[in-house]
Amino acid sequence: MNALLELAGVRKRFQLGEKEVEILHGVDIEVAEGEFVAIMGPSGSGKTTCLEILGALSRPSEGSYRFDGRPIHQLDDDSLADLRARRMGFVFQTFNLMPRMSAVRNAALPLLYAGVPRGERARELLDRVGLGHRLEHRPAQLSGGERQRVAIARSLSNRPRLILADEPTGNLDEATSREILDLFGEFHREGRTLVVVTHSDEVACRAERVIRLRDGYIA
Amino acid sequence: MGCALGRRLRMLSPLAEDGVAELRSAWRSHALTLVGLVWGSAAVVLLLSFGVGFTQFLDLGVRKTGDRWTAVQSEYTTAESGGGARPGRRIQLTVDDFERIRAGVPSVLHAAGEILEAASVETSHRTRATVVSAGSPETRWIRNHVIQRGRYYDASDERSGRRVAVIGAELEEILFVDGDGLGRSLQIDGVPFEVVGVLAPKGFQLMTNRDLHDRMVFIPLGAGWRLFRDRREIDHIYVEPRRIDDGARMQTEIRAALWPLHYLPPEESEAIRFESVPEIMGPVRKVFIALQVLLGVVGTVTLAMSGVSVANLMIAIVGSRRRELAMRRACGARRGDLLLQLMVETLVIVVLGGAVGVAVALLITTLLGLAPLPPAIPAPQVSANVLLTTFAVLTAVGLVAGIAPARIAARVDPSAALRVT
Repeated sequence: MNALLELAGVRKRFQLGEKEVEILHGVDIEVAEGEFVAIMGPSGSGKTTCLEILGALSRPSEGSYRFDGRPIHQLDDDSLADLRARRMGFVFQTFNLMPRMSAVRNAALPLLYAGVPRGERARELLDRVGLGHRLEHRPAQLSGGERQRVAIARSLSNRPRLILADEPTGNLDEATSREILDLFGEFHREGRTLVVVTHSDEVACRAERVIRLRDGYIA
Repeated sequence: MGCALGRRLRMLSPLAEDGVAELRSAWRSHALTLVGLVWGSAAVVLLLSFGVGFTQFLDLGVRKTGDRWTAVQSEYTTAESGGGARPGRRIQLTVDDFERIRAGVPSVLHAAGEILEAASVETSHRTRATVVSAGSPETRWIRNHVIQRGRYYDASDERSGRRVAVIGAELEEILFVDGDGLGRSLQIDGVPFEVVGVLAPKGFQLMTNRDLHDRMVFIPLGAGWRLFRDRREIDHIYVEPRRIDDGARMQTEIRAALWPLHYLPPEESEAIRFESVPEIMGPVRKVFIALQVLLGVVGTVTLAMSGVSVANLMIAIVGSRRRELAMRRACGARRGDLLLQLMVETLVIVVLGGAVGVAVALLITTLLGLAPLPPAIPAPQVSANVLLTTFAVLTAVGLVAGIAPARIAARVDPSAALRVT
């Protein structure tokens, strides 16, 4: 199967005061189209930094990143934003919903930046994640599981090829976590590529492959 | 480029909706800023409206009194000796001066002599002390007298020495119980006159007679001489040039015509003077325009101060919404999109506060318009220009106030969506 994501020799350095700290020390990762990959590792191992680079939220300090064969590390800021708007969806541990927007407006947010009319698609997705009856509710009026479902609907609204999730069940109880993972399983079966950063063995069990990071290296 | 512009234009409506939602949910924290905007925009509208009111008052006041005339005044004394006469000599205008101007000054279109006297006016019902103007029929055109009913006195009244009078509308109400004086008789200092015309009310006018005009009596010059003067003296001569910019030439020609009659040397400037409405109103108009600009600047500065408050509020909002803005970046927002979003949100706040301020100002100006203000105090006038200027100032304040917070928002890193807790 073709590689959708290819990190080669990726290093990432941050400036901490006067000191430069390297978080990733030459990481090579390949994720095939349609694959479900979990990235695991202890705190400080570079999981989130790795996800940032895979999600085009930041550029590698060194090395290359190819998305569907296209060198992402050379793109300018606006092109990276367009890539995120059209090809990627994000699910976060803390949901990151817009507090003053209804569920349907939250779910439609990426469509605004992808230049696609909002509305119907977001309703369909909320219906699919079981929130068809709570379209106009704001995040504060929803439970943790419902918020994460809205976030999942949002991540799907622009029909992305890649879904990136950072500890998607970290703030959820066991039953709700299982429901969310079931949804991820569905998306995977539909052929979407999933990369999930997690500490949870249960999440890792659902993935086809686990990549382990330790101190900025692939373990 | 066109595609990028189209994309941004399509974003405007949803971003404005987001801005309204933001405002609705957080209106308490925005309340003080909104009050500042209401006050600022109301101040702009009110101050500009007062400026327009003053200027319209000036224009209307001058138009009522006639805006092209020059009064030739005497009863001053000479400063120079000349023609064998001593300095300090009293000069009195007479009908000869008036006739000389009317017949012999080419740049004069209309000329009218006038005598003004305080007199007692009486009908069978009432008596009233007022001012009587005895003048040439041309006074009507020069001083912009508009007949409401009847007619103005004319040259034949002047020639035949007929005792006819034209009265102000307010005086008609005062003197005649049924309010109709046309064709009726009144006595001026005991001499009977027939009322042949009633003037349309003018209200307050500038330059002369102020608010007295509607209570005055106007009679032919000849009748005035017989009533008030022993000789054919007149108090002043109103002249109107054929062309408005002929004023200076007209004064030179009048000097050439009158000075020899009174044995005045050419350099004499005290004995007979010119009081020209266009010359007086030129500088006055400039003062009024300067006043209007000043009021506009004061209002704009007031609104700009509230703009500073808006900028501070928006900077605080950007700080508190950093994760949300980062999330928008993660969802595909470009830096320019966040810049646009903050500008739109700032404009939503400014326009809303401004709209309420304009409504408050309209209410105040309406109430002031209904209030019984003294005639010499103009009411504020809200014009389309005032509203357009206010809108332009509001937009400018909104854009300037939005720049700093929008630039901060645009710098938010998308990876902050993962890291900010």
